[in-house]
Amino acid sequence: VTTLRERAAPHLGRRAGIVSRISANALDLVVVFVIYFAALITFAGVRFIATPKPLSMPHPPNWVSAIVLVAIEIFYLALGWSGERVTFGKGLVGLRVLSDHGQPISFWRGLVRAVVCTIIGGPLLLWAAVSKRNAALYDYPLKTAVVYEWRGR
Amino acid sequence: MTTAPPRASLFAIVRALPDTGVDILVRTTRVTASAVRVAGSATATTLDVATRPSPVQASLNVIAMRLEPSRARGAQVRREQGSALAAAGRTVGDATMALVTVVMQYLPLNAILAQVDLNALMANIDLNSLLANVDLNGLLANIDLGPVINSALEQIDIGAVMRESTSGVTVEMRDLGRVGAMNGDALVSRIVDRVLRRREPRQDAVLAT
Repeated sequence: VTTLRERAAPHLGRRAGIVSRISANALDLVVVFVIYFAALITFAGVRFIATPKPLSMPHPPNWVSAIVLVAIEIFYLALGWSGERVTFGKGLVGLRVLSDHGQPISFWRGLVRAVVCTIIGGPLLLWAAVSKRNAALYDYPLKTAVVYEWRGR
Repeated sequence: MTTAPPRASLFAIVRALPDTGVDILVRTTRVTASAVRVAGSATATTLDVATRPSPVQASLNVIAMRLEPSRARGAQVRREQGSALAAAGRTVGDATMALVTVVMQYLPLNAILAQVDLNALMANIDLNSLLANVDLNGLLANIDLGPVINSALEQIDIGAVMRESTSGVTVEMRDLGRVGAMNGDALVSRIVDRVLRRREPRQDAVLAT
């Protein structure tokens, strides 16, 4: 009986396909929303302590929420993709962003990649299903790759 | 000329009866006494003979007394030979065990055991029938399981076991999801490649530095 890790071993270090990447991105999107709501709750608590206003959830305008969400996502993804770190979604699915030479990417390359992915990442990611290298359209200019990497035990 | 004996009259006979009776009584008494004496003497003689060692017995006693020193020496020799025989037996036994040990060292036991089909042997054993004869309930009834269980539980870190098992289940679920995603990747790739009529496998390896 082969274990799951033994079954996955031949694929580790190779470029991941579109199903894994979309799953990881969806999880990361959930994390971004959780961070946003945690920020709102923190803001409400600080406001309740610092001002005489009653405790209530803030209701920012949609455009403010959109800007804050985009900012959180860009910063979160840039941090999670660069260096030795991984985002929650990619870590859970067992993926990691590397250069196409298998090296960790810098924060700035991660930041550019995060900006692109946040603004128009979805449609560009679909190309990974067609690409012979499982590469999204933004992976070509940025020379990045998403590979299978199972961390932990 | 012979004279005829005087003819006894009946009267004379009657008169003689008492004396005759006394005489007969006296004679009978004497005979009886004599018989009693003879009988007593015979009994005493018999008892004397019976209790007195016979000549044969006396001879046997003399012979036994003469033989006693020889018998004692023979017994001593027999005991000494018995001890020597036992010591010789122990020596032979030890030597045999040493020989067997040396022989066992040179025997290819692993090769011999490798040729034994334990599975076939086990297949011939009907464990169910064997176990059917075991009164497990009776055995368990005689065992006070309480202290055993308490002792076992004291040595088990239940918290650690729970954490370990929970963590193990979580990791297993996570890995299952990862493998599922991998399989999804492969499925999509196969479908797209078939639609695009690709024959070469995808170049999904990162470039070596």
